[in-house]
Amino acid sequence: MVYVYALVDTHPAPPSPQGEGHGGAPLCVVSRGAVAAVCSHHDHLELPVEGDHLWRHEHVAETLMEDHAVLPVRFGTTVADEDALAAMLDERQAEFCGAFERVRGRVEISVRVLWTPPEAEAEPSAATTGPGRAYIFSRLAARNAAAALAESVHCRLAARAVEAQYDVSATPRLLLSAAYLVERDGVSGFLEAVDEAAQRHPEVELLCTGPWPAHTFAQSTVGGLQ
Amino acid sequence: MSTSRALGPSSLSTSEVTLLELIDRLVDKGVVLHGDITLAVADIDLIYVGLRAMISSVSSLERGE
Repeated sequence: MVYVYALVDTHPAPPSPQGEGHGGAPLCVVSRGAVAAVCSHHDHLELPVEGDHLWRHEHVAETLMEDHAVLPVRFGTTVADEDALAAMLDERQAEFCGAFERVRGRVEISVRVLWTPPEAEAEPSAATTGPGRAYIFSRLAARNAAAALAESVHCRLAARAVEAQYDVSATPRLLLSAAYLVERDGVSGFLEAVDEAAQRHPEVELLCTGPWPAHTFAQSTVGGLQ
Repeated sequence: MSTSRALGPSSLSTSEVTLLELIDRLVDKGVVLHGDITLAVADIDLIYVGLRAMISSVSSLERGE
């Protein structure tokens, strides 16, 4: 079987990947037109979702993105053989070329905003209208303020990014979960904006990681996210 | 190359944050080829479970537990 790490553009030069793949297997390249797949051959492969294996996979994309437009491939992807892989590359040339242009010269930065809801007021002890309504409205107000904060942080960051994919309030504490596609030379300005947002809003925690290869933006918009 | 910058309480483990982000990216994102996924793990709920566990542990750290 053939394990696939990433897709890379072949212009101006095809990739010559350094280093090793899983289990010390050498990295190889299957090229079709403008698209090359970086892969390795295995008779048998057991790949638990563990740090070492994930970083091995990730490392391939990160090394290649120095010199190429890179589309990271989902972890654990195997195909039967090189012919099968070549057929897939042929079938989706136009889609992958479009994706290369989308990510070329850009990196992905992840931002999450975590919030601790304020200590709940004492539960209303009796079904009286006054204290009960005040309790509910104060909770709602806190929630609305938090949602507004998340949108505000996202808007400031999105203004410094080429593209953004984001989700607001996925969980009660996860106010914002976002990925931003940022021009390489815009990264320091973007990170300054993140620092600024963190300082402006000490009531929340900002988690920022990156730069990453464009995992989130590598998926084709045709057919939607998986 | 990926530098994790966990802003906020210094008690937050930056390597834990980065690993969770890595799992989320590799398991749930990236190009999907019409091949086989060798793993049974491709469930977004797992990622949220991981993140919830991290959020819970952060809460515990803040409360000094």
